[in-house]
Amino acid sequence: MTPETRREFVLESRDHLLHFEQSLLALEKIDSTAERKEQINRSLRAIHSLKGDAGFLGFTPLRTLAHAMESLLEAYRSGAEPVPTAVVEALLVARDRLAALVEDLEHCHESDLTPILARLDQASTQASGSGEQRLLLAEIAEATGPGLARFFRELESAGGVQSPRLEGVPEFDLELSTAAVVWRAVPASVAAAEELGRRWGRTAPARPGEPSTFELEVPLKWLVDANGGLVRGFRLLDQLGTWIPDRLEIESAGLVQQLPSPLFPIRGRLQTPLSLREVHDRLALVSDVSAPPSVSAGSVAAPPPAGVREPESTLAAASAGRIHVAPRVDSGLPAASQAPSAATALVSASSSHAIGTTAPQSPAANEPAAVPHPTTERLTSLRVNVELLDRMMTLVGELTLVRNQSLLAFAEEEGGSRAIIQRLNSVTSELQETVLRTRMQPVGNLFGKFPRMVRDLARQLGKQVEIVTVGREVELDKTVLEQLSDPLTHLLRNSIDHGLEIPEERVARGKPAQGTVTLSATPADGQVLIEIRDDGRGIDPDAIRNKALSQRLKTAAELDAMSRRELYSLILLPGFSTARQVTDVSGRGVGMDVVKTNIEQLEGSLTIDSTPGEGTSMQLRVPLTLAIIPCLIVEVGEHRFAIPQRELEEIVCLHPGGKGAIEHAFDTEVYRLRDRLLPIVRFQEVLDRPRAFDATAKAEILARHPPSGRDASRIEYIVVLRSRGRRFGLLVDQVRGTQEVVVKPMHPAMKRVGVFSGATLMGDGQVALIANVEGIVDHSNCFAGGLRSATSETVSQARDPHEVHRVLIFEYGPREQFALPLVQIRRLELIQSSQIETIGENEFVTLDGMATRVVRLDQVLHASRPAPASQMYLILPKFVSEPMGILVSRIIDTDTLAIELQQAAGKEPGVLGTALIRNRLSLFLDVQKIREEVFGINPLLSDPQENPSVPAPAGRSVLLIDDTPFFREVVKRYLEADGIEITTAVDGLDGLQKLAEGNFDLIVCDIEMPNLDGWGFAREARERGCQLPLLALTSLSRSEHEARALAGGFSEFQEKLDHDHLLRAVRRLLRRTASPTPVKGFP
Amino acid sequence: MSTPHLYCTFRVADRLFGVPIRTVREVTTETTCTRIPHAPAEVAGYVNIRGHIHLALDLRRLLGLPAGANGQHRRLVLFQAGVGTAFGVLVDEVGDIVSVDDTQAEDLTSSSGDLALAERGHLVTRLCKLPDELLAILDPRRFLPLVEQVLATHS
Repeated sequence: MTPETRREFVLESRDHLLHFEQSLLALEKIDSTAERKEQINRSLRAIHSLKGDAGFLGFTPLRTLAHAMESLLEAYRSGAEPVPTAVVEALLVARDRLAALVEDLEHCHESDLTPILARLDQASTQASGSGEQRLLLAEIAEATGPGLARFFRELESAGGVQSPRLEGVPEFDLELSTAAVVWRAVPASVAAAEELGRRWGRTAPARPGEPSTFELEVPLKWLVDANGGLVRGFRLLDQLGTWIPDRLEIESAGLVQQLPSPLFPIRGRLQTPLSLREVHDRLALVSDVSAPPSVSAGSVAAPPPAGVREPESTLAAASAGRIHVAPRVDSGLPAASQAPSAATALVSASSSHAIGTTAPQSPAANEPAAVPHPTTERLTSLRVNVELLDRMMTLVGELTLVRNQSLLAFAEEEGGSRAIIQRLNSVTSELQETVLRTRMQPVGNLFGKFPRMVRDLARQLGKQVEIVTVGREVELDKTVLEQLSDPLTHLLRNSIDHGLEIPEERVARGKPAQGTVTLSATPADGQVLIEIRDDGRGIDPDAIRNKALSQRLKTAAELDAMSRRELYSLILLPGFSTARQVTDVSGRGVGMDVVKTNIEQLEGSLTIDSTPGEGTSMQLRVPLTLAIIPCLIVEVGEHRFAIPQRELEEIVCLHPGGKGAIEHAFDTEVYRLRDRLLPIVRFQEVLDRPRAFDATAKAEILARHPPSGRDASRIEYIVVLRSRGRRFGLLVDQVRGTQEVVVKPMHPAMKRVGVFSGATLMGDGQVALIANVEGIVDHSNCFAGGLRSATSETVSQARDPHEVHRVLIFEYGPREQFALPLVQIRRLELIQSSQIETIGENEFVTLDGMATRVVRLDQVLHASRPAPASQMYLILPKFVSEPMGILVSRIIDTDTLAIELQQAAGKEPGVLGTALIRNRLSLFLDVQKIREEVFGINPLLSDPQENPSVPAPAGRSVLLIDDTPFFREVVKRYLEADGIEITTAVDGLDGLQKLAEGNFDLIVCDIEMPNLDGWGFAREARERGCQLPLLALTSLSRSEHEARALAGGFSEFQEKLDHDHLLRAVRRLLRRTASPTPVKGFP
Repeated sequence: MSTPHLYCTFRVADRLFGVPIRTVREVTTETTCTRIPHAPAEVAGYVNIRGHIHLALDLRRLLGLPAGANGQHRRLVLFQAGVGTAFGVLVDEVGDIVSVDDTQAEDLTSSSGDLALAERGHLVTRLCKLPDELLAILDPRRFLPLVEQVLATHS
C-alpha cells in the first residue's frame, strides 16, 4: 500500500466519520419518520463506505468495528421508531474508537476491540424493541400450521434468535385463536429478524430503502476489466452491501471448463440498502465502460440492462454481458412458507423498483437514476492540498508582476498586441480575485464540529444544552477560520461549563431546563462578528471586582472608573485566575489568556458582556481578510491621517496648563513620559519636508519651536508609537478616535513616498492616507544622533514584546517545573483520566472528533511521573501536524518574562534548555523533538517524491539573524537537526558583519529587531550585491507583510514558528543555491 | 487618403489641448483631492471615484503652465487602464470632441523615450491647425513616468 493510498484512506475516513456523527446527532432532534430515515441512511452510507475501504485495504479491525456499528444501526433503518439514546450513545463511543483506529493505522491490529464490540452488542440487546412482534395467535396458526409446537420449531429453524419468550399468554379459557400475545425475541441479526417476520407473513412488501436481498451475477470479464483490475472490481462490489455469505462464488461447473470464459459468471447474494435500480446504476455505469463495444448498451438488440431473472435463465442472460440481479428468498425454507414469501419479495421488487421487471426495454432504464448518486455528489467539490493553494497564490502574485511588466513594455505599441495585453490584464485581475476566493470558506465548516462537543460536554456535566448556529454561510479567510477553531472551542466550553446552570437550578429560576447556546456569525463593517451567547447565570461584576482587588490587579479607584465591559475584560488578563483556581475549575483563566493571545494574533478582538442571571455574551471580532486594520484617526492641519493601531502604545494630551512640556535635548525635541525621555516627531514637519531630516532640518525645527514659545491656548497630542523596539512620540493636532479601515495600497507612481503605506476611504467619501510608522522614523531620523544613549536606556526598560515571552508554567511529575511560550500553544484542555483510551501501546483522547495522541513526558524524556489523578490537562501545541497533546498534572501560572535559556546539562532531546522561573529551574520543552519522538520524522518532510532533486541540506551553511535568544535557539535547533551549519547574529548590523565575514548558502532573518531591522538588513544586503536567498522568519502576520517582504528583497516569508513549513522553505531555498560554484555573501 | 483622428479636447490656462479619444475612460466633475504630502507639485492628490482611489495629476503643473484659480468648470479626465494605473488629470474646462484630418496635423517629435524634466514639450506629440486656433495633442502615457521621475529626483 502506498503512503498516498493510506493517506487518502485516512482523509476519506475522517469525512465519513464526520458525516456519520453529524447524522447521528441530528437523529436525536428529529420527529418525522422520513427525516429520520434519511439521516439513518446517511449514517449507514458513511459507515458502510468506511467499512468497505477498510476491508479492501486490509484494516480488519476497522472493518469489524464498522460492521458492528452498521448492524446495530441497521435495525432502525425504516425510521419508524426513534433510535434509542443508548444506541446513539454506543454508536458515538464506537465512532470515537473507530476514529482513534483510523488515526493510528500502524497499531490498529494490536487493538483490543472486545469491550467496544460488547458494548455495541449490549446496546442492541437493550434496545431490542425491534425483535418484538405482537402477534395474534390465530396468525401464528395460519402461518405455521396448527399448533404452538410448530411455531417454536419455526423459531428454532430460523436460527439466530436469542431468548424467545411469550408475554401476556392468555387465560386458558379464552379462545386461543383470537388471543394476542407479545412475542419477544432478540434476533441475532437484521437478516434473522426479517426472516422471522417473513415466515409469519408479517413483512410488508419491502419498502424502498429497506435492505433487500438480491442475487447478483457478475461476469468475470467485468470484474477483471472494471476500473483497472480485479481488486478494484471487488471493492466496488463490496461497497454495494453485505454479501451473504461473505464471499462471491464461482460455480464449480465453470471450473471444469479449461479457461473461464470472459462472461463466466461469479455470483453471490447481496444484502443491500440500495434499491435494485441503484445497484444496477452503479454497476452498469462501470460495466458499460468495461464491456466490449459489441455488447455496449445500444448495440445488442436492447437487452435488459438489468433484469429479474428466473434461475434457469442465468446462462442466457449472462452471455449478454450484463449484470443480472434478482431478489430471491432463502432456499431451504419449509415449502409451506416459501411460496407466498417469495411471491411477496418478487412483487415488492417489481413495484418499488420498476426498472427491474416492468420496463426493462425502456430507454428510460438507462438514464441515470433520480436518486443522488454518491459519485456525482463527490464531484462538486475537490480536496486541494493547502500547500498547492499557497503556491498558487504566490504564482498569481508573480503573474501580476509579469502583467505589469508587459503593460509597461507594450505601452507604446499600437494595434493587436495592445488588445492582448489588456486582456491579459483583466484575466490576471480576475484570476487573482478567484484564487483569493478559494481561500474563503463558510463559517459553517467550523461550526459543524461543535454540536458533538456540546452534546458530550452537556452529558458529562449533567446539563441540558441546545446549540443553535446562525450565519453558517458567512465566509472567512481559511487561515482566519483555522485559527478560530481553538478559541471558539474554548469559549463554548466555558459557556457550557460555567455559564449554564444545571437543569434543577434553571427550573428553580423559572428558566427552561434546557439551556441554549447560540453561536452566530454576522458580517460587520468588513469584519465578522462571532458571538457565543448563553442564557445561563451570567457573570457577577462584583465577583470580578473583588477578585481583582484581592489579587491586587487594580486599585479600588481604578475599578470604580471602569465600565462594566472593562470590568469583564479583566477576565482576559493573564494571571486573573490563580493557580488554586485553575485546578478547581477548568483552567478558565489560563485558557482565556491563550484565547486572547490567539485572537489578537488574528488582529481580532474579544469582548465579554453579561447580565447576571440572564446570560453571557462573548463577542469575537475577526477581520474578514487581513487587509482591514484598525487605525487611529488623527488630524494635522486640515488633513486626516490613519495610524495603524498595531504600532500604537498610548496617547498623551498636552494641555496648555498641564505639567508636561516638550523640551530640547541635543538636536531633538523630547517629552518626559513617566520619567523617561521620549523623542518627539512633529507630524506637521514631517509632512512639510519631502526630504529626510538632516542636521540642518533638525536644527530648523528646533529653532521654530522654542520650548518657551508655546501657544498657551493650544492643545496637542503625542501619539506614542513603537517601531523596531523603540518608542517615539508623534505630535498631532487632534485625535479623532479609532476606525477599521480598508487598506488600499499606494498608487504605483507614489510608492516612493515612504511615510505612507497606503490610503483608505473615510466615511465621508474623502481619501485619508495611512501613515507608515517605520517610514516616519526613517524620515525624521528621530533615533539618530545624540539621543541614542538616552533612548537605548529607555528601550531596555520598555516592555518590548520581542524580548519577553508569555510563558505557561506547569508540572507533570512532582520533581520538575516545565515551561512553554504561549505562542506555541493552541489550547489547553481539561480531561478526565478516564477519557484516555489505550490502543496498542499508545494512548488517545478524542478531542474535536479527532483521536489525539496523549504524550506522557516521562516516556519521552527523563522526567518524574505524576501521582494518579482523575483530572489532568492536555496542552495542544501549535504547528504540529499530527493531533497530539502533552499531558500535564498541574498548571502553575502564566507569566511574562524574558527568557535567558541555559543549555540543559547533558543536552536532553525534547528539552530546549532551562531557565530560572520563580526561583525554580524550569525546563523549556522542544515540542518538535517530542513530536518526532512520538510520531517519527514527518513523512511529508522526508517524502522523496515531494522534492525529488533535493540534495541533503547537510553541510550547508545558514546565517540566522534574530534578536530573541529564545527563538534563535529554537530555530538553530530545528535547522541543526537537519544537518545544517548555523551561524547566528543578534540583529541586522551584526548580520551584515557576519555576512561579510563568512560564506553562506542562505540567510534566515527576523524582521523586528533593534539597531537594524530585517527590512533594513534586506535592503542593505541587496544593495551590497548579496544574491543569497533570504528567508523572512517573523511573528508578523503573513497576509499583511508578505508582499512587502517580497518586494523588499526577501525571497520567501515564513511565520514563526512552524517547524515543518520552516524546514521545507529552507530546503527549497537551499536547493536553489545548490549550484556547483559556491556563492559568496558579497561578490 | 488620410483617416481622421478623434480627440477629446480641454482647456488648461486658456490653451486648447487634446488626447486621443480612446485613451479616455471618463470625464468627471469629482475633483476633491486629498493632497499627498511629499508628492511632487504635479500631483493633485487622491480622488475617490465611486469607491476606488485614483491619482489626480495637475495638468497645469505638468505642462509647466502658470498657476491659476480653479474655476467652476474644473473637470477630472480619467484614462483607460492601458494608459496607466488608476489616474486622471485635472483640466480647467472640457471642450468638444474634435475630428482632425492628417492634413491638418503635424507630428512634433519622434517618440524617443527621453523624458527629461526640462523637456516638458515631449508631452505634446502633435499640433493640429484648427480653423481658429492650435490644438496640442498630448500623450497621456507619458504623464505618470514623468511624475515618477520628478519624485525620484526629489528624494
